[in-house]
Amino acid sequence: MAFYTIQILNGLSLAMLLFLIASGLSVIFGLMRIINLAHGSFYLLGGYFGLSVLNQTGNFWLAILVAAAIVAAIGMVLQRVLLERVHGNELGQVLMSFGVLLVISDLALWFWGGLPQTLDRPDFLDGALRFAGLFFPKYRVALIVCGFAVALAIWLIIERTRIGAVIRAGVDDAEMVRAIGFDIKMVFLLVFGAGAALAGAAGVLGGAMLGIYPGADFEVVLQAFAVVVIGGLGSLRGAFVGSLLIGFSDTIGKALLPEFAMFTIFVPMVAMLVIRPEGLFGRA
Amino acid sequence: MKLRLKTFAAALVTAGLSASVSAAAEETIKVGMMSPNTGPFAVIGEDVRNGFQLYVDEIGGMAAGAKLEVIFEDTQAKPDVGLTKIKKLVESDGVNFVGGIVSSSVAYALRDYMVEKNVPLVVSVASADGLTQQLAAPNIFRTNSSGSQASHPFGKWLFEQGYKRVVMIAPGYAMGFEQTGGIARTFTEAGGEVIQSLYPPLGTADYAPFLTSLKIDEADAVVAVFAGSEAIKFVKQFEEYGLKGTIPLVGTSLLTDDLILGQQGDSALGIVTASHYSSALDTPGNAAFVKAYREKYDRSPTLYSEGSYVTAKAIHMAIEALGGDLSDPAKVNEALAAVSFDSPRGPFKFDGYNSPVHDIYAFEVKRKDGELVNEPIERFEAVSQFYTWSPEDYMAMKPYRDIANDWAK
Repeated sequence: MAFYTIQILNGLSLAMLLFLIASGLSVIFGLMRIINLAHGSFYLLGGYFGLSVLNQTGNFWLAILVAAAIVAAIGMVLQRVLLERVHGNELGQVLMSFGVLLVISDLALWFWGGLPQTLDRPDFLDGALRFAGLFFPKYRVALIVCGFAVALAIWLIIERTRIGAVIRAGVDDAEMVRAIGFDIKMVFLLVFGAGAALAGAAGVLGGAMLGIYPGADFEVVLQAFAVVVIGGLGSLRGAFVGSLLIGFSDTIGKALLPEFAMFTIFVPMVAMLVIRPEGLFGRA
Repeated sequence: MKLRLKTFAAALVTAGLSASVSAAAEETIKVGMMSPNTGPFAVIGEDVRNGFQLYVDEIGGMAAGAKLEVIFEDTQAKPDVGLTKIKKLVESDGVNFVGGIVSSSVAYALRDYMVEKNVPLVVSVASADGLTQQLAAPNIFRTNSSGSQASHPFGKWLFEQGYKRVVMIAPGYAMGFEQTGGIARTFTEAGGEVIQSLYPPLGTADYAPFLTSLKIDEADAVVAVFAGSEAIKFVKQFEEYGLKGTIPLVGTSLLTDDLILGQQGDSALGIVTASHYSSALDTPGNAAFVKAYREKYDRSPTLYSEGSYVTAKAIHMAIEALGGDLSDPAKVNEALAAVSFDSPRGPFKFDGYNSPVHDIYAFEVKRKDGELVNEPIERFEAVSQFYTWSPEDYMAMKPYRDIANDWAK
């Protein structure tokens, strides 16, 4: 029983981190049909900018805010200057965003060095919770709570606000939204920025859990795509359920069948592609 | 017009001649230095370059009266890139030696080409056993320990320390299999028992699921082998999940090497690992090396920089032994194989398969003068890659990667 309690908490904490990354990726795709491999770079940059702020000020919350803001700005520039040029050209998007991923990865290496780094957590989140003879890191509990809060907030924004209505309409028919007088380009830009900001914040949160190092961008983007494939492209609910599925299948799979650790993420993904290529909540 | 062309051609020829004459007057020995400058291994590549450069500077860039020219190339830790770069070094730069190489997969990719060209390759870091065993060649050398070299004496020693049952965890590729396999072999031969072995794939983001399924209730110690960012994660999570203090953590040098120890912080305290080098070693050569390295690069040397420093020294000693005459490749290989000198790690020489014979230490992570260090607590004298076996007997055994899942009962 103790074993499963811990695994469930592990799964949840990984799932929430994945959700922060994959939600942006999924909504951006749903709205703009952009396959953005450079989403992993947002995570990496977020982690590194957070690290710099943390080293300067020692303030974890400020680190999250600054990292999210800078990464959002970078994301918006990227969208305007590069990705917009290849709109509608899927192969072009994949190649270009992969190129950006490589360039940013080496720029980060140049700037922050190749040494794996860890972000210091706020003191009150350091250490472990003990209950019934079990150990569980406090920080992960906080991450789980934070993930649920963010999911709720995004859901409220998309379902209950005017801008959310425009975004939903844009996912269905961007041309029509433009025709009735909304500046769809501005909506694209803002959503892209918000998605990048989420990934940037995830970089700080994830950096404090798993560290930040060259190559983290690739690891993260792979997992985020698995989540998006399972949940369905463009669906927020899909990103949430997909994150939970991947989080659980990954942790519990690794704990029970460590020999198959390579497959815990990709088997569900491949199975989904075979059974239901559009994903759980995606539309064909 | 015709005249002009002729004059021009004549001028060119004269210029070419004088260039070749001046080159002959000043003898130059070229050494290619391959290490990753980009990608996840870049930080190790930097150490490798630094260690090499430090030695070249110490000898004033001269060897046996000739100028030593070092040409650095970036392998990106990719086998195909490494092969392209080494072809460039050998064929267009005409290097006399090649040193460096961090990734074992790059080393394997270069091996056949270098054997064919018969240019000495002195590997500074890549530890794959095969390079100096089944695939050994007269011109392939290594200054780092082979994969299981430090593990062999360590496994037996662990048993002697009173550990009877261990669980093992390591990344699921050659490095992990060789380093844990070496420990498992001598540990079980001494009478110990491996009760579980887990091999998470390379690039595992989170070790929590593995940590929580280790059978620590039945074991006396956890044997772990990880490197780089994975080692940082593993050691930190080992503490977060309350295992630190409940059960001893032991492993090989990469788990807490000097490069990452600072990032691991207090969570690394008390971990015991086996290796041939740490910057805290108390050998006659090490104090001066550490001081010079710190002055020049403003950080402590690591086993990577030391391995590369030793590479440079081995090449230098070979050139000196030949009096700078590198015309006969067979003699160059022999001269390299015969070098023997004092290095920061202690006495250094090659075995019959061009892999080092050196002292292996057990290190414990301690805090000394406010800094975390790998403090030597035990020394195993003059250990070779074959430990106590004969090379033939040793190589007749199955390679560690094939028996990785057979240790646990």
